[in-house]
Amino acid sequence: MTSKNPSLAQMILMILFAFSIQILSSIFFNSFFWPNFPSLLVLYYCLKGPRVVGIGFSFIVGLGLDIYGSNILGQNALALSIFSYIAINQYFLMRTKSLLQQSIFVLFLLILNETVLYLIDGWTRQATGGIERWLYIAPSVLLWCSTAMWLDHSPSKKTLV
Amino acid sequence: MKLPQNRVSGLHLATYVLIALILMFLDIRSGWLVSSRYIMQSALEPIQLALNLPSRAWRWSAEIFQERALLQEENKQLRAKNLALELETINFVGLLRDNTELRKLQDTSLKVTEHWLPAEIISVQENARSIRLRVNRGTQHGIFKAQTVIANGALLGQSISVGASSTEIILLSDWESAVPVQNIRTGVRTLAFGTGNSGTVSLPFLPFQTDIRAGDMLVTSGLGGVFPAGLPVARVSEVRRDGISPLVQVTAQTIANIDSDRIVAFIWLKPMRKLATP
Repeated sequence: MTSKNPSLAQMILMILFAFSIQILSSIFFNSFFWPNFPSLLVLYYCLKGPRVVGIGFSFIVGLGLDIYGSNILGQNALALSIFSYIAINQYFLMRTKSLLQQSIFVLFLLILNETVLYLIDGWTRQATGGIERWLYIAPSVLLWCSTAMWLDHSPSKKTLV
Repeated sequence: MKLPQNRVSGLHLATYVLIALILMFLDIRSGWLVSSRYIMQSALEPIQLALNLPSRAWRWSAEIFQERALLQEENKQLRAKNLALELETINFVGLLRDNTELRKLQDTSLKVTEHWLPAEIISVQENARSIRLRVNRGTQHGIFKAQTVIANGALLGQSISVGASSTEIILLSDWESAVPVQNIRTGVRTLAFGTGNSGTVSLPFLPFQTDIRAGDMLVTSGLGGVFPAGLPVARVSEVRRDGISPLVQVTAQTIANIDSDRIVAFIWLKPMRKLATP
């Protein structure tokens, strides 16, 4: 319960780091399977502990994603707000579950996030793209799983005791 | 009573959703956010430029330590190429003169390249919905929106959003890209649309009986006034006539590619002769 909350400077550094990975990967190897690090960062903080971050944090990261990706301003912000709302509110339910169940939850969240983006693209008559836009989800879940196992920062049974 | 504090209320979410919706509305429906977007993109520029430093340093050191013999060999090849190009230029000048005379007869305006500026790619965005580049030139270098960008001596795309010191370029294969082209062999004019797959464009508006074959070279037709005429665009790779559709399905591979070279060039055009004033 007494998980140490990260400071503001730490969070800003992490945001910069996540965007740096995203930009660097785009230069060196461009792949549809590359996980979306900024949204994984939001997920990480949402599931790190009770109320480590609020929706405002995800909103700001979302705006960053919009500016970086030249999307409609507010598109990713909206998707990530809904995403983090669910993640934060399900935190207590989540921490009693096994890693496999948690990763199904993460999969659901990421699909929801991309669905919101997809719908906004469609409604505003942007190019919606093919199957490729969904491909990053599976590697993202795998990355989240392995990171959670490694760091053990995830809300697991151990922290409950 | 700790649990309720740890939850986020729906009101919170509703507030942020509302802000996002207002932002999206303003971004789509009015131009209010264009200037603020410009500022925010400029804020992201230093990060992108800083991230570009390691790869730049790597290439720089690779050049320094490259072998002397290799460089000499390359120099020799470049000299030979230069000579060949000079000879071609001599021919080209003559052709240009002839062409101008003919164009005058036809009363069309031909645009020619006035000057050009090289730019370096600082980030690539190639996802399901867009194929775009960001390069390290912006308004301070005189770049404007919808400017022609070339690479490897062929059309690469056009500038779409211009920042202070970086510019986003939409490539020909982007979903939202279209370019007026002409088949060199037959002279047929049509539009080449981006397919969303890297390096591939399609020609969706050609009638069934059009004379087009795999291997045909497509160049810009100059119609529309955005691109100059005669720039190589793509080579036809597949022609499909299925007998159901009244149109022929043609896909072509773009000639300019960013894999081989990280340098692209912006070009400035000037009309060869003034348009007739009413």
